[in-house]
Amino acid sequence: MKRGQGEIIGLVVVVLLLVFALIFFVKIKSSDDENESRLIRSNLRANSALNALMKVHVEDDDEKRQMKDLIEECILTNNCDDVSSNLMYYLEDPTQGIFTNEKYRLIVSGDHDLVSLGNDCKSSISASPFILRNGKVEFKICT
Amino acid sequence: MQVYTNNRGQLEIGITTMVLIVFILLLLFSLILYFRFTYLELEETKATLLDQKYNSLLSVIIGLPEFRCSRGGVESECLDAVKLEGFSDVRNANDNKEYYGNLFGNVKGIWIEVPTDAGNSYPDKNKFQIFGSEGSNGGIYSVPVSLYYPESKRYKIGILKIRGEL
Repeated sequence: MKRGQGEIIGLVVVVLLLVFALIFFVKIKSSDDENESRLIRSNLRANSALNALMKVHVEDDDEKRQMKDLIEECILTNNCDDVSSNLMYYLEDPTQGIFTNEKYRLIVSGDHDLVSLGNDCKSSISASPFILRNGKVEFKICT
Repeated sequence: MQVYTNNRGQLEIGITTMVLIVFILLLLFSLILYFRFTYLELEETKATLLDQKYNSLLSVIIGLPEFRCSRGGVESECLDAVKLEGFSDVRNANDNKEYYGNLFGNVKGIWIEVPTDAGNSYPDKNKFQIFGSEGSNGGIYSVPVSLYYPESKRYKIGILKIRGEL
């Protein structure tokens, strides 16, 4: 191999290494920024969504009760089918749900988990748990 | 002897030219890549700043006493539908136009949608227009809110939306 060819190959290797280092650096940096941005947005959304969900009145025949009361009753009786379907309606109904386009995780628990809706998230933003007399509701938005 | 020197010189020039061409090509490629990522980073910074700006505004709107539920002077975490319904009169009063203009800044529109209602008249109203118009250009920043209807003493879920820059 001639001296000139060796120089060219050396130069190419050095420049390629620099380019890869640059790509690696920029990729890591941009993914950090993205996480920060979503964190800010979701925190307000998660807390506000959980608050709205717990307060909403659910009509059952002539009776109208708040979701939090239904959940307290479900924890007492261990029968949470109604609560589960009502929560699903307000979260995922195509026309009336508030989280049709976002992944979330909602857990109702007393002594143990009674209702678990949504998906497991790799990373998520949690709302402050909504504390009931006999249990709690936790809500996370996947990021 | 003369021929040998000329050939060697040409070869050196050729090698130098090739090295220069490769170097310039790689430099150009690196520069394009660098500016592309810089541009993407700037776009992300812009999106983050806009996100923060409109999230702050959403928090401000949720906390405004003009909308917030209160009973006996004690505020709770919801928006009063009666106050929302009457807000257009408050906003359009001469003394208040400038105040709300400054408060809401350069947003194109602020409104609350009630997905469970389909009507146009209170209390089954599906949209409370707070400021500006819904528009079609720009991004929508939204947050779910709890709406309280005092006459029926019931809560519904609404979605507070802002149409702003994208």
